[in-house]
Amino acid sequence: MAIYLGATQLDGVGGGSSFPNTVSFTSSQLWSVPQSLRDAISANGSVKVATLIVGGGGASNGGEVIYEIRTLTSSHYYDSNNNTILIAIGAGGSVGGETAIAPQLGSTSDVLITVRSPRGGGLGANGSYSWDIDGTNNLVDTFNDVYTKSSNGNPYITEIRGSVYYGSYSSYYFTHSYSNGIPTASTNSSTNATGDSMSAVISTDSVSYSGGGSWAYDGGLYVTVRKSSLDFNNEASPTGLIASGGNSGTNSISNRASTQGYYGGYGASITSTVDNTGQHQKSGFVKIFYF
Amino acid sequence: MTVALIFNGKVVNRLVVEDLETAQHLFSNLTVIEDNDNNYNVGDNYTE
Repeated sequence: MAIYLGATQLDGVGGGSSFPNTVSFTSSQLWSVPQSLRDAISANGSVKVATLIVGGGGASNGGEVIYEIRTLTSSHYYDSNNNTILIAIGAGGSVGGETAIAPQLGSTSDVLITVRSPRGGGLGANGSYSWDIDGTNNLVDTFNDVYTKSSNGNPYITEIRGSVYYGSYSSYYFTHSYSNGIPTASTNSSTNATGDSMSAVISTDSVSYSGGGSWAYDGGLYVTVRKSSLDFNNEASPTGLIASGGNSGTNSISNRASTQGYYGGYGASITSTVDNTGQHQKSGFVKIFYF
Repeated sequence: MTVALIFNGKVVNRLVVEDLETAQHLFSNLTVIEDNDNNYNVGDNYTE
């Protein structure tokens, strides 16, 4: 029975140990963040909530269970108006999905890579160089499989840069325009004071160049490509709050070889090293406790 | 329903969603396919 002093409840409040509000999710959706939390993030930069997150169960391992007090910041908002946060509920299945309170997916950054750096070694006045994503000039290793593709299947390019030699090395930027990562112009040229010209023909995966007179394409070849992030799938440095699905491999603390004691969902095999077959895998779950 | 999220030709996650249209809206920068029969695992290649 509650105890009041006038209109003020004296018992069951205070102490800072309870979260009076909860919200649960069993399917992926946008959570309309309560005004009280939005105000707190706006005023203080962050707000603490308690989270219970369960990854989707796999065939032989349950999804991991995480219960932690976590800090929500503006970086977790999904929409530009800072009203919603994405809740991703991992599915059960042969390999379970990851459950997360995730920042907006697919954030991008542009990364400069050196395709070839022959400064002083010479690509010469005329020649060509190409790169690809699966062959000898492999970008996959460089980008750990997470780079954006343009519609033609090649890396999404934001700039190709080379240098020319004319008495001394100088930076020369191919001033092509790009549309969705694909060069839209095929040639570019630059002419020095004596009328010698330098030109380049650029495609998404190669450049051909030719110089006249004292020009030489000789200062290296650099390509800036677009890299995309999938925050909920980056267990090494997650920016969301993630519970890995069962069978997510050694990175997952739900791996049955783990000694950390985090197991959840069906198929959990806490002490045995034998797959727990025959059980139906459960999907993930998110519950948020907040003031 | 269950969907598989495809990014650069690979399955990167499997999620529970209300319907396919909502999932495609939420993950507009990914390819989203229905996968109630668990045909795809995380890490599988996917070709349209």
